[in-house]
Amino acid sequence: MSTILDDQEAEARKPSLRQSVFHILGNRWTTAGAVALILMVGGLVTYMTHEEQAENLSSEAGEVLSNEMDRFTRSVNGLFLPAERLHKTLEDGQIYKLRFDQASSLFFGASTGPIRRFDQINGAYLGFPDGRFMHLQTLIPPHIARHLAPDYQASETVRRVISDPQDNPAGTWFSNDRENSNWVEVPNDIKKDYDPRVRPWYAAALENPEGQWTNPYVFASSGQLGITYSKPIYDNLGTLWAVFGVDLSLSSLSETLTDAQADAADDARQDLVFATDFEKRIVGHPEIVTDAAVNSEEILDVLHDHMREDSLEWHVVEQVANEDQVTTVLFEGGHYLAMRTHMEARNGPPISIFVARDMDEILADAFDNLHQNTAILFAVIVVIGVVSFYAVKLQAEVFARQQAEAELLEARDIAEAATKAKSTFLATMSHEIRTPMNGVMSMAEMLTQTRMNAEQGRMTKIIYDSASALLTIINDILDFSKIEAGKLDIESISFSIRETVEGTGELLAGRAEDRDVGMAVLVAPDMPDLRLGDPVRIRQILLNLGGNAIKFTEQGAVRLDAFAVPTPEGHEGDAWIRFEVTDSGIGLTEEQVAKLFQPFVQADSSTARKYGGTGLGLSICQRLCEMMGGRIGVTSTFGEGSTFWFELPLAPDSEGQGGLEPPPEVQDLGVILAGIPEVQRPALSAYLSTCGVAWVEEVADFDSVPEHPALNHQGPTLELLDATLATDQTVQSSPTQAFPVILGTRQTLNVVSKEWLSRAKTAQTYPLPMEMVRKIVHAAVGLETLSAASQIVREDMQFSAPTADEAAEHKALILVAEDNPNNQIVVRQMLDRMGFACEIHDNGALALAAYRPEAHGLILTDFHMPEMDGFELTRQIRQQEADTEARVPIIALTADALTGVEQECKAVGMDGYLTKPINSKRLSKTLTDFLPAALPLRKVQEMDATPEDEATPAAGDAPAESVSDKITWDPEIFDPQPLTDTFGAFDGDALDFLDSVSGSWALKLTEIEAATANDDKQKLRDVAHDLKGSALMAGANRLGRIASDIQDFCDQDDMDMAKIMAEILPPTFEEFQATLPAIKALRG
Amino acid sequence: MEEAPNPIAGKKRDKDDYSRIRILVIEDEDYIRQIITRMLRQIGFEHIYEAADGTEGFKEIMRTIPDIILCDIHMKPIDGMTFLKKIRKLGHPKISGLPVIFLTSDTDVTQVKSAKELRVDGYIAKPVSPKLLKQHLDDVLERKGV
Repeated sequence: MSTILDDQEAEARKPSLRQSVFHILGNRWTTAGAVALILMVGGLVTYMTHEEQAENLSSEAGEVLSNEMDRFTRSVNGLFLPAERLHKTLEDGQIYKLRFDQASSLFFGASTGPIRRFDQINGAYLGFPDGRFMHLQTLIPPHIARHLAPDYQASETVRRVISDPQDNPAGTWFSNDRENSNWVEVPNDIKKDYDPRVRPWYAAALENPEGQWTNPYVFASSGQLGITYSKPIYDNLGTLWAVFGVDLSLSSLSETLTDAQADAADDARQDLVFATDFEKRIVGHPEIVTDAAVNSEEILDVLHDHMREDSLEWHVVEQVANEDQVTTVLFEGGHYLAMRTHMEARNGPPISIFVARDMDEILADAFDNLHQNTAILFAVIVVIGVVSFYAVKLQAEVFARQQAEAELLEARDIAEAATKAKSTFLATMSHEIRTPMNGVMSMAEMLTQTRMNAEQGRMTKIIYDSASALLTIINDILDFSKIEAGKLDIESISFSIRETVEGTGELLAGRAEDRDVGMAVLVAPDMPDLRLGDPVRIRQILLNLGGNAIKFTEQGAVRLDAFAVPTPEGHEGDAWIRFEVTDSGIGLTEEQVAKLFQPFVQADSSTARKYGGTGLGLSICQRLCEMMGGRIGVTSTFGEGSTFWFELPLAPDSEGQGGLEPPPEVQDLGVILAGIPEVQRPALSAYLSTCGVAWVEEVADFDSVPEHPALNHQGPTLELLDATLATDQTVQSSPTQAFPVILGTRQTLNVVSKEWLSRAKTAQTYPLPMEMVRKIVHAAVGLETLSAASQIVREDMQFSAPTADEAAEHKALILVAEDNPNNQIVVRQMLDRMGFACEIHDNGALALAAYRPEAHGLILTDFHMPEMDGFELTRQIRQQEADTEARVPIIALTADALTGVEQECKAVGMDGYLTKPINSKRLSKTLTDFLPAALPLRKVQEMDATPEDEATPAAGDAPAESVSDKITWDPEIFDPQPLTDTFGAFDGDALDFLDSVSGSWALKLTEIEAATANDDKQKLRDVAHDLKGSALMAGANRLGRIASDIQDFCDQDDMDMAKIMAEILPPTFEEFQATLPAIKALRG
Repeated sequence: MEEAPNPIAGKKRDKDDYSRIRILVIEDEDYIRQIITRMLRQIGFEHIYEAADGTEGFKEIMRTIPDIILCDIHMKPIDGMTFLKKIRKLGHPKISGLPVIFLTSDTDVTQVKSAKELRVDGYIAKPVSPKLLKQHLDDVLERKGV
């Protein structure tokens, strides 16, 4: 059992995965950890997104910068393109084929337009290898301008032609006369020689025929910062014809950049853009557009101003190494994106354009957005994370809870199944235990019936008592498991409360006496006695409570009470009986009371050690009460005793049995209770009063009162005195007219003096049933006679019966008419133990037929039987007796213990009746009263383990002794009769024959075995036939019969059975051989 | 069904004389069988045959043709109920009508019912005392006219 429970418990305690998950999620630190993790992941993701976004923004900004640079480059290119185009125009116009004057016309004509249109072009010229030179320019040197109109300078050009370097190395200057558009010579005050062939642009062009831009320099003519483009012009033969040159003013470069910047998109307006020459000097910068450079030194200063080492421009120029590639420049803690384009690479002048953009400023908004987005992203991640976490947690919790619930349900189912299994197991176990217990008890019982010395007897009794106690416990468990398994049925039959309670009291009295504890029973006389209910269960509860009460009472008394009570609150039914078991024992504390009715729990563990028991009793009582619709409880004062009570609805069986009116004779009777223990007095007083006794006097003993109380009463006196007062002295002091009855326990009655025993009308043990009180009272007034010696010890059950014939001889055979087999057994058993022989018949008719007046001394008959009932049987017998003096006592056996039965019995001619279940004491008393003739025939029971001697053959059963009667073995094994008949006697010849014939059987058995193994039916049949013949002839009946069966089965073609029979041949033969020595000893 | 004459049935048996009655005890628990056997000896039986299960019991019946059989119900491999069924169905004049008493701790109603249907002659619930056993045996022997 414990194994089952342990497994179950272990199962229940095993943590499930879900519970673990639930547990982890439920942990506060886990939650904190999860939040931290979410923040970390969120942060990381956000950071990475942020970085990526920032990178994207940077590269985006770089792209924008590239585009800006393209634009700037295009603008600047536009600045320098006209120079190349002009050269191309001249070349395409095959100027080299013209004469000098024709060429100059073309040159001046082609150049005038561009020079006027493009501000940046200051002048264009051709220098010839022979030193000739022609020059068209917008910048007019001061010594020339002096000779011209004041407003000429703004939009007009002047020309310088050196057509004869030898003669006029300074050349001639021309200006436009405006009116006729004629070019007129301008006077030249300062004749300054000019040889183009020594100029740097000329040499540079020869070095690079594809065209060459000079580094920025200060124009000699105007003093302005400029740049020159020069490219040679060859004739068809590839001979150098002239070098073409164009002067560009770099002030227009700055203007161009400024204009381009103005045209730029909004976000590019703040960009820094500037141009440098290859020596990292700034040649174009929006800031120098407005600077009015006075002279070359000033201009250079300005340019250098912008190249201070602490300027952004310097840092950009220094840090941007590669062309056309966006580079991040760090300047004063800020980030700039910058790039450089080299114009020369696009056939432009040796100028680099730089563009720089303040990243921080430009990205600021973007970063604002980015940060905002990042923050939102972070928040979203965190929120999603937390929500997910809680969602998962919630889900897990819900799941865990569902799982837990499911597991709980499962556990409950398992527990229920286990409980059921436990109950079934217990029920089975109890049955199983009862079987070996049976062995112990029956052997002990048999031992007690053998001759033993006193010590052995005591030991045997202990064995028997221990086994009985164990069996009681087992029955407890069995009961409990039956209740638990719902297998216990409650009956509702008619029963007597009085008999039930008093019977229980009688049973308990013995136990109480063993512990020197008083035992009293009081069943209220003023209520209908017959009720509908389950007497077996009520008795069980009473026995249990009473047994406990006795067990827990060291000294004092135990009382059983039964009386009517009103219907308890919350219950139904109107006929409630309360049963009380009151003891003066150790009592119970409140805590003990609280757990008293729980199964397997005793008041405390020391109780179990001291008093033993399963702890199931009260629990069983409680269940039984509940099943009967009642309730159970206890009131107790610790140390003073307890009252266990239970109340049951027990409806009266029939209409009120009004108590019989007490006979008038009783009215005058006086009753003295002398030395009666206190516990017995309430019951005795109540019963006496019910019997009509009015005068009752109580005395502790006769010494303490001045005179015998009987002297105070006029009329007959009944003296009920306790056995302890029945001493020799009291005999002397007692008045003679009193009717003395001794009451006591078995022990106290045992030591009552012989004088008293002979004088007393009767001696009775406590507790007295009401019926006994009534009988004593009636006897005291002469209405009834009491049998003298009421048995103190059940000596009446220590007999065994004589044989039927023996009894019949003495007219002591009891004729029983009883149809119920069980009752037959009971009656036979009881009569047997009491030493009466009986003859049992199933009905009145059979009994009547068997009735022999000379043999039967008493008739016990059931009321109701088939064929002929007890009444008819009685009538018939009385009719037979009508003419004779004979009158056989007829006693009725009846289950109808109703009032009026007695009258009915008497009316029909019966002498008495016994109620079922048959009370052995009453039976014994009845037999003693009515069949004294049988008493001497009783045999003192003496059973011995040795086989009964055969010295007592049944009378009248003495046929002529034959050899067959002498044998001690089963004649089936061997019957000597056939050989005796054959040989005339069972002599040596007969034995020799037996030896020889039985010697052949071994061989036959071997043949049969072989035939069986080979399935050879014919052979089997033949050998079996032979064996049968010789075995039966010799008297080995069993062997022969089996062989005969084999033959028959073979004939019936039932080989299976034939084989089975063949299998049992060898043990039968062995049996014969084992008996052979005994057979030989028989030889007469 | 015609009852074969019992070799000793012809003689009037004294009520307490069991010495000529062949009794077969079928019980799988060895020590219980011994206890029962001992009780039977004390009662006065002299020809007591024993078997440990239904199969062995059947063979022993075929072998000894006892006058009465005491049989446990819960046995392996062949239980008492199956055993009894086999006996009753056998159609052997000497065997199928043999008195059989179940001696068992199983007092389940259905069990008792099916035993009755198989015309069991007695049903003794364990634990059994020598007296109770004797009564049952007497009862059955008397009814069967053994």
